[in-house]
Amino acid sequence: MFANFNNFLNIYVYLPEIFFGFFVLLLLLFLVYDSIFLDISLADSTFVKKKKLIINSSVIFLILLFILVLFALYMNSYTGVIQGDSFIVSPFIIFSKRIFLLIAFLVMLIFFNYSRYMKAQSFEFYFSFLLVMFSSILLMQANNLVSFYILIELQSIVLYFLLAFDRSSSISVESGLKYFLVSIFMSIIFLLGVAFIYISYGSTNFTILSLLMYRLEDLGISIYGFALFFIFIFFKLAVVPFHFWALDVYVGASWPVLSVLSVLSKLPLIVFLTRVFLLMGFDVNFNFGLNFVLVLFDVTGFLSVLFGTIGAVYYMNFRKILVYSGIANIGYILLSIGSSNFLAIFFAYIYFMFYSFVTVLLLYLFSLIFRTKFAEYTFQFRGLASRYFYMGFLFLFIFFIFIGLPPLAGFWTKFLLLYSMVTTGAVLKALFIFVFNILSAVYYIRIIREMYFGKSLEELDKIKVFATDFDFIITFLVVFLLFTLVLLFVNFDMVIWIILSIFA
Amino acid sequence: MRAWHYVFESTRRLPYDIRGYSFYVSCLFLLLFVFTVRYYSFIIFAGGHVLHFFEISSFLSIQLLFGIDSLSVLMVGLTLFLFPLCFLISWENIYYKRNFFFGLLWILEILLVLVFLVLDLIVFYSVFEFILLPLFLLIGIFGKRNQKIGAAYKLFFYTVIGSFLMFISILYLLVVGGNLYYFSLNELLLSLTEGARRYIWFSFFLAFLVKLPVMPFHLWLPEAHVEAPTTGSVLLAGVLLKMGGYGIFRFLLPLFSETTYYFIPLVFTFGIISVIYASIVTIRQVDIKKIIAYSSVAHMGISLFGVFSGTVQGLQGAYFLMLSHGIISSGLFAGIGVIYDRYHTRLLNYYGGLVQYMPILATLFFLLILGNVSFPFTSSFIAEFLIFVGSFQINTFITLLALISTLFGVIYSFWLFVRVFFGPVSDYVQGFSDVNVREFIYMFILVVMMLTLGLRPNLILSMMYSSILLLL
Repeated sequence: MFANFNNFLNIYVYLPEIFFGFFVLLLLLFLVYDSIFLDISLADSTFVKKKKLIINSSVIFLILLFILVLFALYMNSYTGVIQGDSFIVSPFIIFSKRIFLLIAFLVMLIFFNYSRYMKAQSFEFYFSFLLVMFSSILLMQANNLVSFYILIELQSIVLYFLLAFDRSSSISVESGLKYFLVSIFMSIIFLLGVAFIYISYGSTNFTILSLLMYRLEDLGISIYGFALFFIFIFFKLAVVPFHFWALDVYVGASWPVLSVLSVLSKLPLIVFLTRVFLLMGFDVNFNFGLNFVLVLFDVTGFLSVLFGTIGAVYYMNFRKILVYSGIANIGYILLSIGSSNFLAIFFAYIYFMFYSFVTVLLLYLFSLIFRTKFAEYTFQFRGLASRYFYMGFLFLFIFFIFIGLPPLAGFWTKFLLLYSMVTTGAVLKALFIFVFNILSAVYYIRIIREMYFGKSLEELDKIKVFATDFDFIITFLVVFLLFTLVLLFVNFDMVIWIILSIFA
Repeated sequence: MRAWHYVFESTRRLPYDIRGYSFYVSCLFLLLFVFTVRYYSFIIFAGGHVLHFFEISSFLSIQLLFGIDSLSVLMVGLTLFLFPLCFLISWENIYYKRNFFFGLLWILEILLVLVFLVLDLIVFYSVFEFILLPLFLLIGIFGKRNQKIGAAYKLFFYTVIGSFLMFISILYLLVVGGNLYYFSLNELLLSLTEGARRYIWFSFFLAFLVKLPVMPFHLWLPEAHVEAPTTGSVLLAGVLLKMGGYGIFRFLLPLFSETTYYFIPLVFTFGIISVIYASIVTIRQVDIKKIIAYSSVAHMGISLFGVFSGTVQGLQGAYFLMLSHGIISSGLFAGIGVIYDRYHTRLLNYYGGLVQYMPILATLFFLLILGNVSFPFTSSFIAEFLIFVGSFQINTFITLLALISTLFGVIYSFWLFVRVFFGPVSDYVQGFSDVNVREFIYMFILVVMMLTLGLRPNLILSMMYSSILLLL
């Protein structure tokens, strides 16, 4: 299904994105028109609130429907290169987009819950999610450093807005501001890197760069170019030497925004890394100068695992534990990519997909419980399991998945990583990952202990689990996936299908 | 859809009484198992394997290979035998969150039966670790003191850290060998160098050392026993310790022959330190459950001697000791549970002269104490006799030292019994009723099992004989 036209005539390839763009514009027009009408009307505040609620709910439902439609649209998409080599679409990317849409669907459910207990809000909060989604989907297709930059900046701008949305809370504004400042600085660094690369190679196209990288004797300034480029990616992924913003920013985000920030904004970058490493072929056996990239991944991965595991032990706050556990998991992925083995990189990709799915589920459960302002301490969970047994059970399973207890799916994903690393001979790295995985069990077990082994404090009375009628969807998903993933993940025919689909 | 509100907020109410249901269904499982074994008996007891083969993963060649030979049969039999008794024990004990407790016990039963049946290393490791989850919750939620949390942590982390090297070795074997088919593991291991084999042997052994507690890594056991509810202790002592021993029989002995021979002095060192230390420490204990827990450590140490003696008598004795220890320790913990249900304390200085109020319990408990001591006529006598015959052929000095530990065993066991039951009635002892029918049933069954096996050990020994011969 390769469309043979160059450039703009390749419309079949980006038909879904055109559909997306039109949908966004039409929705925006409609909503702006409606809100203008709202302001002009001289109605009292209850009418305004009701109308806002209706508008918000309808926006969310429309987005949910839209996600499903897009998912179907990407079923048999065309592949090819579009828009002057700025974007490329391949089966692997289509597959990644569909997984992204699945996770985005769950995130939208979090938004939906948020809209139900935050009564009156402007529609922009829910609509911006569409913009994030748009930029992320296009980002997965980016084949050019310039388009990469534009789309990441678009994503970041929407995130600045979403993070600081609750203007009345200083923590929220602080997190948005911090993310904004740090992001701007890193973008400047990124642009410097792009400049270096362009000077060395004369092109910013990834395909051309991947070909040019092989014939180098004197690397000169391109090393710094690539280093700065990867540093920018590490910054976005919250990898250790560049992770300091994550703690403050995650604390101030509301739950839907947190899921966008911690999962959805990282997903296209991981897809990009996988694509780059699978296609550009960094290889330990190839002795050319840019193998420093592998060292970079190894070092940052090592530091991430170290700091991610040890950092979380001190905190009693759920968000901070989440930050550090995210850092540690990205560390596992980076260490695995640094092995430069096809299986290792692929399993790292699968690990991240699975991890992001479980994180979104966890955030969904948190969003049902914690609806007040931003301090969610572990001791607030004390005795949760005696009062809300089902909730406790779901949390138990999710946290044991994070620990990596054997027949659950978390173990098998880590097992795949370790297996692929040991096959290449990186036994020490595998040992290191496994040891720190066990160490990370300390704080997860602490949470489980709070849930099950204690008597409830009066804090638990303040928490009322906000279970709506539509939670049977999420319950079904969680229970189904947690149990069947035990078996499904071990049956790797699915994995083999995915592998084949990349090269189809 | 409103019902999901309810589901999120409370546990369901069952339309039947879960206690009776559990008891009868577990008896049913036991009967089914006995009949199945009789059907296959000509294969099982002649030393063969009955196999069922399901392939889970073609990519990693993880096969869900079930194999039963007589070793597994006996262990599964022990598990299924103990579970109805466990359900009887926790009849009145657990009042809050009863459904949850029984649910955990059921999950534990399935997992324990599974762990004795699988023949694939990765699946074995998975079930080995997964058992920790229900145990962790059992001890942490249903214990009665605040120290239960530390005990639960110790249980979890000791086992996980102990078995992490085993996982690395399994991974290494998988990568080197391509697959982990049980029957070709022998050739796979022979193709490695001796040094690699020794590392792998030691990693496996470490995991089993932690589970079957041997001196340097036994610290989780006394705490876990003290803090666990009675049923938890019964299961822990009865079945979970045997998982370690079973692992040695299934994975360590058949696959590594010369390496085992190389490590015998090290094992004997661990064993003798463990046995003598545990026996001496026990004399000093004040908590009854801790005494019995440390005696479990001592018994399992003696079983370690038998396993690594390399003779038929030693191996048979070791396995038989595991079975009889399963019965005796379970009985002792059940007896303590009976007393604890009445007096709610386990400290020795509150007790004295219980025989005046509970003569039946005193009798039954005394017979179990005799079993603990390895008095003749009980099953543990046969077992220890066989073990010492076996290890005497290897190293006479160590055997003499181990016999000294038996002496200490006599000391602490009888002293426990005398302090609790005989003597003047302590001021704290009120007149509670003697064992009721339910408690009598399970205590009596355990005592009868013990004596039967003591008088006619051939019932079990003949089943094991051919399998054990194959191990050599």
